[in-house]
This record gives sequence, structure tokens and C-alpha cells, in this order.
Amino acid sequence: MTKIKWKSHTSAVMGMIFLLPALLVIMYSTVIPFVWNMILSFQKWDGFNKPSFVGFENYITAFKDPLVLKSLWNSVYFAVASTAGGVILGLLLATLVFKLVGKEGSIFRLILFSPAMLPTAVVGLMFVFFYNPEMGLLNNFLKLIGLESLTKVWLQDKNTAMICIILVAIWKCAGTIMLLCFATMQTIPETLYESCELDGAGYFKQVRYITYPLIKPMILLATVNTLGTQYKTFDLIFTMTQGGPGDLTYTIPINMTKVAFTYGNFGSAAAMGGIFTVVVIASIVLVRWMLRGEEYEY
Amino acid sequence: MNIKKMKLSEKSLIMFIRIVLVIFVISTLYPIIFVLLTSLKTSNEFYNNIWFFPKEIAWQNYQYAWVTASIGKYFLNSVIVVGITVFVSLVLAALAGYALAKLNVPKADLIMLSIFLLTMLPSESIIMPMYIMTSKLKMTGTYGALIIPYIGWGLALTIYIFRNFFKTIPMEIIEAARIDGCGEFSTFLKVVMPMMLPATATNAILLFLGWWGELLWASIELSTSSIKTLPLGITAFVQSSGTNWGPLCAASCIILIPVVGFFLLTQKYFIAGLTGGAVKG
Amino acid sequence: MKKIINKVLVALLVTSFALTGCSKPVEDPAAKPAETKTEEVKEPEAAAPVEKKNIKFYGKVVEYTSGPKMTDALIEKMKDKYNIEAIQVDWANMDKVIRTGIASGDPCDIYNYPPSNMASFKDMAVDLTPYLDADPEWKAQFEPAALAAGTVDGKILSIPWESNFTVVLANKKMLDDLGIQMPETWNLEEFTAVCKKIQDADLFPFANATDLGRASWMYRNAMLSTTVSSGKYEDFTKGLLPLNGPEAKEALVGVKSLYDQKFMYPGEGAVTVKNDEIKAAFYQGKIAMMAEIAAGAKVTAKDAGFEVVPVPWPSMGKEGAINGGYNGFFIPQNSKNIEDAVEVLKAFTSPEIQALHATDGYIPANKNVEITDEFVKGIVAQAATLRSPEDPAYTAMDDYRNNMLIPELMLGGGVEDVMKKLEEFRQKGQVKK
Repeated sequence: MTKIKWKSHTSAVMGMIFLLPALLVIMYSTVIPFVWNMILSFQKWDGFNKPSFVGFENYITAFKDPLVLKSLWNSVYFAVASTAGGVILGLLLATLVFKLVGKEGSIFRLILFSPAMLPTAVVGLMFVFFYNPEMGLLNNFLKLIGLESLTKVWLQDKNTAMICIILVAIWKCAGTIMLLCFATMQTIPETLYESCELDGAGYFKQVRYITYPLIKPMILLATVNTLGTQYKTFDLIFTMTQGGPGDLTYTIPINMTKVAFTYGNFGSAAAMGGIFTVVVIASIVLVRWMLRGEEYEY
Repeated sequence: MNIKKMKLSEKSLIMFIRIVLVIFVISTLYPIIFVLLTSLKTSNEFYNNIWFFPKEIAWQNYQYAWVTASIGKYFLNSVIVVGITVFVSLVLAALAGYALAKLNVPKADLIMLSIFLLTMLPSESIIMPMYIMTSKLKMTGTYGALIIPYIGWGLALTIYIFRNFFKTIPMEIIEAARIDGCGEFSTFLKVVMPMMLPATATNAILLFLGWWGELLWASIELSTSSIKTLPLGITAFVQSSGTNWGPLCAASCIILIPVVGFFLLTQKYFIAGLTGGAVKG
Repeated sequence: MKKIINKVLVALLVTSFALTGCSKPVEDPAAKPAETKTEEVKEPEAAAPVEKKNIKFYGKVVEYTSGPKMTDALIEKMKDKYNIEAIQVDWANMDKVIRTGIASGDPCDIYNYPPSNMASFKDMAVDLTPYLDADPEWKAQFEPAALAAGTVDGKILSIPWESNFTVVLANKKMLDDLGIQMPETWNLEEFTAVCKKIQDADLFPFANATDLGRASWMYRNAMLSTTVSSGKYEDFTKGLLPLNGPEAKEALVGVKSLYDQKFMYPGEGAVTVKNDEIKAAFYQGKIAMMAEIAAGAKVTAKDAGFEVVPVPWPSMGKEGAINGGYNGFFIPQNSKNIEDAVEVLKAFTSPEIQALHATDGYIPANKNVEITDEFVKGIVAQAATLRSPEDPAYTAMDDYRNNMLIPELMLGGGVEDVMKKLEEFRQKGQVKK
């Protein structure tokens, strides 16, 4: 009896040894900044003089500021919409590409993945031209097929600005999600599909009853990860609209950067960061709850 | 009769899939082609002819980017930084993921969750304390100043993916190895890791991609250093008086090449068959 | 066996950590320090070789062809006394770089930063007034307006090295074809008439970018013009003139009218149009006149492929006026080598190095440098109506003018709302003083 206990004890100790290097680096690069920020959010600091303690003032000002609230709303909208779109599209593409084997599959996967490989700055600038009302591809295409009445000033119109940026974000992130799902699909044994097929199910039925449930953990992971990344987006939105016009596409990262580095008000920025982190975590918890399910061992 | 029917529907399914995917490919590919075409135009021609083929092919954009704008030097720097980051991250994350999945570490789920949640802090909050810490450690402008944070920030996802894959390995295999007298480490290295190629490949690609194009931290940390990474080199083309499109796109194409190469290289590890059959008798 | 493997792997881990930690920065060939000369002591008075100080100079502007030339010349000129490390300026991240540098306690000794934004660094920049007063020859090389641009609360915080102001570049052939004459200045009526003519020919008369900090140009030039015309210019620059008064109204109504009549490219999208888009359309012959920064004018004109001429900025009041802007340097208070940094600045703003800037077609701040390029001369001629801008606006107000003013003017509450906001900002700014 004691032998088994000892075995599980040593494996736990080994486990902690295995875990240690990773934890050290994480401590340095994530925990320390996190704590630093928490402290800073209760202070007033300009990056040069001594910080002074101001209690909850930064938080209260943030909650009362309409720009902060608008940025928060925009951030949530952007992150949720682009994640949902990206996951759905990525999953769809993975399902389709899964059936193509060999070189052909590789090439399709490469091309569909390539948006993720372009630097964000280039993508942003390129799509600014794409959406340009006068010489952009989109409006000219609409004119070409006779739908001129649908042409708009895409990045300025309050109904379309955010959505246009979201579409670009989806375009960019779907490939990564496709890749993750595809990799996971590889681990499902052939035998499961074969037995399903003998029962007379077509591919799409197989996908629905076998593939999706079995890769659910990966779908969850991809969703949560993409959500986190989209929340943090700065470059894409900034290159395309700088958060404008006015505050139409203003997000929290843009707001924080401006408050911290242009106005030199680091305490307020830290408070915004704190509020933002809570919102992000809440979203993730919500998503995890929505996508809950059993995990299968196969 | 049934087999014939199935073969037919299989073929038409694949045809259907091909058509749908080609549509997606076109919409995905056009922007890439745009970058390629623009890289072959002079900036002046670009402004006059944004969407179509260049009238004169401007190879000098590539030369300008590689030599004058030092993209060649930055390329090397990026390779060093990202290469080391990916390697070390994989090692640390594999160990950690295995520990959390199979080695009875107490409160493994909680640890995993906290690690993950910590990465939810927006990057803008992180750069100030990181910069001050790096400066106090006198590491400003060195490779390490980029590599260590990159490893730290990427570990959460990498560990998570490894852990998930590790969890799918039945305990019987590990027990079998232990009974045979293997210590934890050799079990990990000789028995379990070989089965983890798709996971490692996935993580390698994600890490590579994530850090190859990282801009925010690099632009602050390396602002006064003579080392610069590729993304920094690219933003140098977007200036206060406008964008230098030709070399910008040329540099982007140069950046793309290793990513594409890396992607194709690791593709074969995605092929199934490496995990199936490990336990069956 | 397993123990050996364990040890090997641990060693690998440790090595990888060590590798990442102790990399040294790669030497930058451009900033090669000159060898410390150990000179033969020929004269008894000659001093022993001096330890050279390292000066970090965040001021290499690579987008100007003259940028690297100037820094190279600077390094060469000062090589006996200083190891100058000339660092490339990253315009997009300047704020972040400067603030993190200062916060870390180890900043660069000299930072390039627009004087007009110095208000946000007023606690952290060295007051250079005593240095300028101690060296009247140095001070005399700058126009008073240039020094005033970098003055906050009476302290000169920024030394200008480049003159920059707003100009309008026009497609000469287009204007000739439409029979439009170039006036010395033109007020709103005259300008509107010309614009209508251009618009009737199915072209866009005017364009002003909303990114790169250019969005505020329309308003600022308009205000300068109306306040100069009404005689309240002095009050305006000091921040004493109410910003919801008749001058402001005239300025804003004038600006709004240009947008309303769709004179601004691309019509409805003018509120968010970017510089790249405008440049493209201008080159394609769709826009008659575009707003540009003086320093970039020559390059824009050269790349156009057709003849480009500078024309006056339309004035909203009776008299013409344009915003005088500059590029300048400041020294952070926690630099370790303040005195030396001042020396380096003096060298950089000396006529010989500034002349390099002029040769390449830009406009240095040193007024003793002669400008020989014809096109640039034409640009500089526009500066006849150049006026010192307002007291450096504090950051929030400047941000509003750049990012929120035009959208609010056109898509939001219009002239009344904008005036109200500006007046609020002005009063807050007065309180701070």
C-alpha cells in the first residue's frame, strides 16, 4: 500500500519540478506586471515624479467617463463578433479541408492560413484602400454589378465602420482556428468514422455526431484564445480608423495607450486595464459555460 | 452495389468541397496577391494604379528593403529571437503540460486556469513595468529582453494545448513504462513525447506565428537599440509623411517566406496515424 | 541510464536560459565610435586623453534623405569629445518610447519631439532658457516664433531644428486648364468660387488628411486667420480669447462650408480620409489641391509625375495666416549628461549641419542657412503668412482638435457643440496655469 502512495507522491514531486521552470518565467513576465498594475491603478503617476496614492479615484473617474464606457462596449462588441465569426468560419473550413488529402490539402490549408501570416500593419492599410469610398475595390465592385445604391463610406458610417473592421479581423483569424481544429481532427481514429459509415451516415452526419463532439475541447480552446487575442487588438483598429471617427471605433487598448502615453496618466490607464481584465475574464467564463460539455477519451 | 454508390457520393462530395474552398481561397488570396503586386511597383506607380498589374516590375524594392532598410539584418535578428523563443517555450511547456496532465500535481486545474487568466491583462499595461524591470536588469536592447517575455507570455496557451493532448494518452501506457523501470523523465521523453508530434507541431506553428510578427513590445524595448526585428523594420516604411508602399510590401513578402516555409515543413506532422494504435493489442 | 538523461536535459534547460540571458547587442556599424586618440603630447599645455562621454541622441530621422547625413556629420564633428549614438526616430511610438525611457531612469540624453506638444512633458524636460541666454549667438540663430513654439509657462523647453508648416500643393495643369489664377492669398469667398469651378469639372477641389495629426490644420489655420483679421491674435495665442466667440464662429462656419459643399475629397468620406488615399487620388489627377506638410512637399511634388506648385492656404478671415510648426529636441531632466547634451544640440543646430538639411530640399530652423532649391523657395515664400501658433495646447485639447473636432463638426453637434467644447478646454487650460 505504501509503495503505491510513494509512487504517486514522487510523481507529484517530479510534476512540480517539471512545472518549475515554466512557472518562473511566467512569474517574471506576467505575475509581476499584473501586481504592479494593480498597485498602480490606485495611484497617480506621470512616469517621472513620485507616484501618489489616490485610492479608488481612478476607478470612479473611469466609470463616469462616457469615452471609457463607449470603449468598453466597442471592445466587447468587436471581440465577441470577430471571435464568433472566426470560430464558425474556421470550423467550417477545417471540416471541408479535412476531406482533401495529400498535397492538395496542404496547399488549400496554406492558402487559407496565409492571412494570419501577413503583418497587421500591412493588412490594415490595405483594407483602408479597399474600403475607400471613391477608388476602393468594394465600392467599385458594387458599382460594376449595378448595386451603386449600396455604396457607402464604410469606415465612417456609424452603422458599418465597426463591422468592416470585424470582417477584416475574421478574415485574419479564421485560418488559425482552422488549423487548430484540423490538427485535433487528426487524432480521431479512423475506425470511428468507418463504423459510422457502415451504418449509412454521409460525411456531414459523421461530422455532426463524431467530429464536433470529440474536438469540442479544442473548439473551446480556440474560442477562448481567440477571444482573448481579439480583446487585446490594437494595431488593426488603429491602422484602419485610429479609433474614429470621433469615438465610433474607440476600444479600450486604444484608450489606454492614449491616456498612458499621450497624456502621461498611468494610474488611470492602469485602472482601465484592471476593469478591462475583469470584463475579459467574465467573457471567458461565460464562453466556457456556454460551450460546456463532457470530455471524451478516445 | 452499395460500395459503388458510396464511391460515387464520395467523389461528388469532394468535388463540392473543392468548389466551396476555391471560393474561399479567392477571397483569401486576393489580398496576398495585392501585397505581391504592390511589392513590384514603385511608390509612384502604386498611387496611380492601386489594384492591378505593375507596368514596370520594380525589383529594386526588394533590394532597397533588404539592403538599405536593413531588412536582411533584421531578418537574422528575428530568426534568432523567435527561434530561441519557440524552442525553449516548447521544452518548458511540454514539461509543464505533462506535469499538469499526468503527474498528480495538486490542484492542477486551478494552476492551469490561473496561468491562463493572467495572460488576459492587456499588453499596454504590461510594457511599462516590463521596460522598467528590463532596464534595471541592464538588459535593455538585448535579445534576452525580448526572448524571456515572449516565452512567458506564450506559455499559457502552449501549456494548455500540450496538457490537452497529454490527457488523451491512456494511463496504461505510462503505467507500462513505469513497471518496466523507467523513471518519470525517461517515460516522458522516450514514451510519451514521440506521440506528441501533432501537438508539438501545432504549438510550434502557433508560437512561431505569434512571435514572428510581434510589434508592440519589440518597438518599445528595441527603440534605442541597434538590434531590430522584422516587424520593426516594416513599420519604418510607414512614416510621418506617408507610406512607402513598394518597399513595405517587398519587406512583407520577405517576411512571409520563412513563415510559409515553416508551415509547409510542419505540415507533415499533422498527418494522422501517430497516436492511433498505441494501446491496441 | 535515466540519471544521465535527466542530467543532460537539466543541463540543456539551464544552457538555454543562459543563452537567452547573456546575449550582447549587435554592433551597429553606423554608430561606430571613433577611436580614442592617444595623441603625442606635443605642447606642454595639451591635456591627457579625456574619457569620452556616451551621448544617446534620439534624433535620426531616416525618412528625410538628410537625416542620416546630419547625424553622421554630427558624430564626426563631435567625435573628439563624445561617443554619440544616433538612434532612429520611430514616429508612431514616440510617446511610448520617451515615456518608458524616462520612467526607467535611463533615458536618452536628447529626444526629438514636436515643440507644440511639449506641454505634456513640461515636468520632465530641462528648462533651456538659461543655456540660450548664456549663449546669445546660439539663440540668435532661431526665429523668436520658433523658440516660442517650444515655450511652456515661460520656459523654453525645446530647441527647434526644422521648420515645418502647412502648405497647399496644387496640380498646375489642372488649374491652368480651368483658367484659375494663383492669387497671393484668397479668402473664403474667392476660394469657394474657385472650388465651384473645379467641382463643375467633376473633380475634387481640396483635400486634407485626417490622420498623421493633420486633421486640426483646417481649424487652426482658420482661427489664426480670423483672429489676425480681427486684431485679437495676441489674446488668442495666449489662450485668453474665448473660443466660442465671433472669430471661432467665423472659422468653424467657413471650414464646415467647405465640407458641406463636398469640396473635400472624397466627399462624404472626408471626415475619415487618410493621407495615403489623398496622395493616391492626387497623383491620379482627381484632386486639384491637397494639404501637405512643408517638409514633405518636395518629395510629394517630385513623385507626382506632373508639375506641382504651392498655393496659399485659404483664409477664413480677411487676412491669410498659416500655422507655423517645428520639429525640435528636448533634454529629459533625468538625463545623466545635461550639459553635454546642450553642447551636442548646439552642434546639431549649427549652420554647417543645418545646411545639409537645406541641400536636400528641407527647411532647417537655423535662419542663417540659405535655401537654394527653387521649389523649396516657393514653399518658403508661403511662409510669409506664417504665424506663431497658440501657446502649446495641453494634450487633451490637442487630442480633441486632432481626432474629435472634424467628426463632431460634421457628424455630431456641429459648430455650436464644437465651440462649447473648445471653450471648456480653454478654460480648463487657464485654470491649470
